[in-house]
Amino acid sequence: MKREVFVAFAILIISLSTLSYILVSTPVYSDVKDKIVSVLCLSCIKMEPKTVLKFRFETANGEAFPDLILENLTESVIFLHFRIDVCPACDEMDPIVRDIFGLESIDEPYIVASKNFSGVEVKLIHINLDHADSELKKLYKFFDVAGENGVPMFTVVTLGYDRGIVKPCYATGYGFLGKSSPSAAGKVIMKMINDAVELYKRNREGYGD
Amino acid sequence: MRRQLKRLLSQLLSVGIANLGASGIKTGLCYPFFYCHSCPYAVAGCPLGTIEHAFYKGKISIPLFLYPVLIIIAIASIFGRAICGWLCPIGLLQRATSRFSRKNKLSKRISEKVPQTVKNKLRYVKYINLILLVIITPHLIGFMFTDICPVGFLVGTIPISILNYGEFVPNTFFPIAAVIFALFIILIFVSERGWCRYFCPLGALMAPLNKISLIHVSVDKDKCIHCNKCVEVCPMGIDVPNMHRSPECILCGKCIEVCPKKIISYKVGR
Repeated sequence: MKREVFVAFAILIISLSTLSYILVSTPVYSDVKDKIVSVLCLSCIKMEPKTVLKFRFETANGEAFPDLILENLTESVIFLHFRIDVCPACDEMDPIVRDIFGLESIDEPYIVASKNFSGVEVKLIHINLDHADSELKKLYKFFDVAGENGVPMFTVVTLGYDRGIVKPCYATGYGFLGKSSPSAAGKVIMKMINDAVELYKRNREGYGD
Repeated sequence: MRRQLKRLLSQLLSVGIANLGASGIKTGLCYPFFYCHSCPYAVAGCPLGTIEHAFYKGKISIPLFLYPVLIIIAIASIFGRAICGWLCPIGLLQRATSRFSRKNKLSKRISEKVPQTVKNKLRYVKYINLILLVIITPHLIGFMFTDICPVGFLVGTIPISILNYGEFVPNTFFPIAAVIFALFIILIFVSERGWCRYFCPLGALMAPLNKISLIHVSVDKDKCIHCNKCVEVCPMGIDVPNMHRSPECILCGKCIEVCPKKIISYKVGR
């Protein structure tokens, strides 16, 4: 047998057996499916969802607001910050969120922190979706208004007034929130929070405990 | 059925399979060719994107790196770079532009002015792209190739912009990526298979396997009459009569069809 044929067969057998081993013993298939194929890669498309930061009463998936949100809303405005492991825009926006909430670090996959803005507590819930349990992953779907699985995603949940009833409402933004830099995006986040705080102050009395 | 028609059908079928995501199917596989998972209808992951994920910012995920690489190595150890010639959707695109790139005067003028030695050296750019932009830069800095990839622009940015008109805004890399995409389009209209020849990092991954692949194109040099018809039709600009398992050969079979002495053929094994 010629040397090339032997080498080709050897490479084929080694590569197929290693591939089989990797597929059986590691979660690489589901990692590629969940973290790469199913997530819209904003770096790949060089764009980010354009979101008008308007407050909505209906969740993105049409379901009722989750209990985690409803329970916390009696005490504070909620700011949700979603990211994944491999995400350049997330890396750039993390320090902005960290500074807004006065944290030392935002490296953990799940962080809950609070800060007072104009007399209202705002609770930050930072979630790295690659390390989140199914309930936290599902939380993302409630507020993904673009329906594109884009990250970083920022959602502020507060109380709004809808035809005579005080209800939870939220606004969602992605990436640099339509701005050209993380620092400019940080100003948009501050506006989101300030608007949410104003709504909360105005409507808290009409919301049950 | 003529070989080139079979090849066209194979390429069209490959495009169809690559876009099975349109029927809602999403898999955890990696394409063995150049296609982007940001395409709205993508059914699998981009192998280069997956490698970038594996090396992202100082982390090294061996399974994530080996997974696409081994898929490609396994296929290329049998078929060599036939994937480029028979399956790759970007190869199909370049096939469509090849008639223009062959005939236009600017292309000929450029081709005549650039010495063969320079062209040969330019072929190494794809290896640099693979190592520098797909492995080293993501490891040290973050995504680079993904941010500027012209294929992502073609099959991701453009269709998503059309299908979701007005719902997306350009990010900071958009202008750079748009310029690179424009250069990519100019390249494939000016140089036949210019992307495959000089820049494709996946081609760089597969090229060395042409040296040992079970299926390859073989030339009986002793019987060659040096009519150069094979050289004229070769989309990769290979000196076919003197080739022995060229890393550039995409096994398209055009040289086999035009050889008047029928001394070029596909060989299996030896």
